[in-house]
Amino acid sequence: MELNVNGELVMLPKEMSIKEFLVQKNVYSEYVVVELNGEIISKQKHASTLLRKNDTIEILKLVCGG
Amino acid sequence: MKNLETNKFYNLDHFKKLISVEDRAELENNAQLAHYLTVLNFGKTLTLYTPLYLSNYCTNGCLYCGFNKIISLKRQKLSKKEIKEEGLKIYQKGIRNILLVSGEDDINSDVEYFNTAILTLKKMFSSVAIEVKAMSLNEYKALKKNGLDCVTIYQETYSREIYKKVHPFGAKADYDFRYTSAERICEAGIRSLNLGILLGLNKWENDAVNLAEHLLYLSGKYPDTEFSVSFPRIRKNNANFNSLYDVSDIDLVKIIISFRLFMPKLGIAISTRENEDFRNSIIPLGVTKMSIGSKTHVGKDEGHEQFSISDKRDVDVFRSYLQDKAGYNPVFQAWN
Amino acid sequence: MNGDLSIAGFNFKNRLFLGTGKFSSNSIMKKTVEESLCEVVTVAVRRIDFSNNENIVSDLPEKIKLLPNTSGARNAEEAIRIAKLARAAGYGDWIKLEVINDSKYLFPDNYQTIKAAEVLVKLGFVVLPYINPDLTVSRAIMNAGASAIMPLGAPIGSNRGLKMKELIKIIINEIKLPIIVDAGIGCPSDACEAMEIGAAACLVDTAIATSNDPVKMAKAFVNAVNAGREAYLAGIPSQEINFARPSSPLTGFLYAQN
Repeated sequence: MELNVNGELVMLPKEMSIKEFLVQKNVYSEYVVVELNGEIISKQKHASTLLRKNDTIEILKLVCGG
Repeated sequence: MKNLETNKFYNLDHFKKLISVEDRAELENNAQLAHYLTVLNFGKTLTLYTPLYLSNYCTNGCLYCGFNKIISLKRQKLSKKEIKEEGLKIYQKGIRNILLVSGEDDINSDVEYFNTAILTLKKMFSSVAIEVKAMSLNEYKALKKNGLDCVTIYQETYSREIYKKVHPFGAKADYDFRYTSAERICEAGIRSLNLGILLGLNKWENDAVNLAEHLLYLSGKYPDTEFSVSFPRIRKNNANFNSLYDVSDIDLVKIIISFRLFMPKLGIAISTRENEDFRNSIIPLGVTKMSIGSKTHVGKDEGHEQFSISDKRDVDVFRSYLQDKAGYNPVFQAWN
Repeated sequence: MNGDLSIAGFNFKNRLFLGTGKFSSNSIMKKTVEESLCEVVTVAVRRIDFSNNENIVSDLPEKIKLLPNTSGARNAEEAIRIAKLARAAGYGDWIKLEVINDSKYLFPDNYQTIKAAEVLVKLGFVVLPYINPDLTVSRAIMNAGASAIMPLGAPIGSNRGLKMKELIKIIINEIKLPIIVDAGIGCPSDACEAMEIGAAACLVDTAIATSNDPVKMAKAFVNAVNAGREAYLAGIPSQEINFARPSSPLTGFLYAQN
């Protein structure tokens, strides 16, 4: 299933929750911000929110910057 | 607070405007600016000095002066011993700036006499100033060699007409010699020069402007001389001279403020002719030097003063006032 | 606390705010923050790099106040989006509002900044907008409810000196908000200068991060900020505006009734 992750096309084998996706990518849920189809998904909802075909997801974090 | 127009310093036209201020609020505003400038340039300090009258022998006929030749009084002068004693009395009060005053009499108080006085007192006082007759360049140079660092000489009035009237005879009648003394004093390299006008002789506005102009000229020509000004108001004394013009407190305040805003680093000296309350009130307006603990007669001859003293406070009382009430640091020694 | 800088209920003793960008390594950045005792650092919001697990935030001292910025935003809408994302990271609702669409001078877009500030304040953010110093803009931002104003000290990349000093002075004198000078502070004396005229704090990034010894430079900046602040509080005599006016009129005595 095709998804747009951080501006890139990504193939996922099946539907999965945001949490599962992050775990798969070795990303810790605690410090990222997830925006799914333009909407911010809070950390508490990562486990219960499913990624679907053609979703656009932005995964961001706080980094060094002036 | 209106901003300081620094480009108006040393500007005679601006000075004329300053002395013409009528509006109270504008005067207050100028007072605040003058206060600010004074504190910036001098800090909250006041230099104190005491006059010592050496001799009341005088060959001049100045109508306004208590030592005028035609006045009957016991003429006397201090001996070297007396100069030392009187000097010591002043020194013991804490004063370190002394002003030697004398009438003009070439027999009794010649340049040698002044030299002796200066040499005697220079041992005690860090600054010895004189207020005596107008002298030649060489005479000023000689006195400077002996430790003279400041000369006070007032033109009294810049109006030749009035000057002639109030100086009917004597060497002082020579307006030009008097006027050019200022330059000779600067030429001689004497560190500081105190000029002045005697308020009441002329319309004060006219003399103030002339004094400002004189200062402008001198400070331009002699940039290393320190200048200060005084504006004593004529007071009743044994001369029984009546002021030709009235000079109110407001007028004197305008003069002080205007000179401060005219020349930010100009010294402004006020004597004990003015009363205690008035002197207290004008300190923040730009005054940098005040005499205290004065007596204006020679030796023990009270009652025959050059002018009558109004502020009779003791040095300690005045010092207390400055430190405890006014928040000003009394300066006894201006330099080492 | 006396002497502390207070913004939105937080009190800071250290008036040097640190930008975390451009450091040669995260460990140096971390050391700089620790040893300078800075209490506020700016961070940015970026897409994660899946190959890099680093979380700089967890590296920073716990008491640090994070100030995420909206860098990358070219208009109000983008800034608002980034602010929301930053807040969602869970480190508080402070945001340094930065809207830049000028690639030549990198001047912030004051107009878009006002627009974004109005929205973000209503959304409950503690907004610290970065602006090109302008009194009218500052008033609008203050009225919108911002918690501070961050005027740039000089155009980025300009030569040494607080080029915007006079304008910043005016804003400090007219706007009752902490004024935090940002950008264009190239050396400690610039920071000292900003504090002397009454700035509440300075934000410094490049001058520290790109120096040969950022830790040392950060400490130098802290000293400079403290020096400038103390001088300001003492009242620099040559700055007329600081002069303590006499409490009663100086010429009142002339008219006193007897």
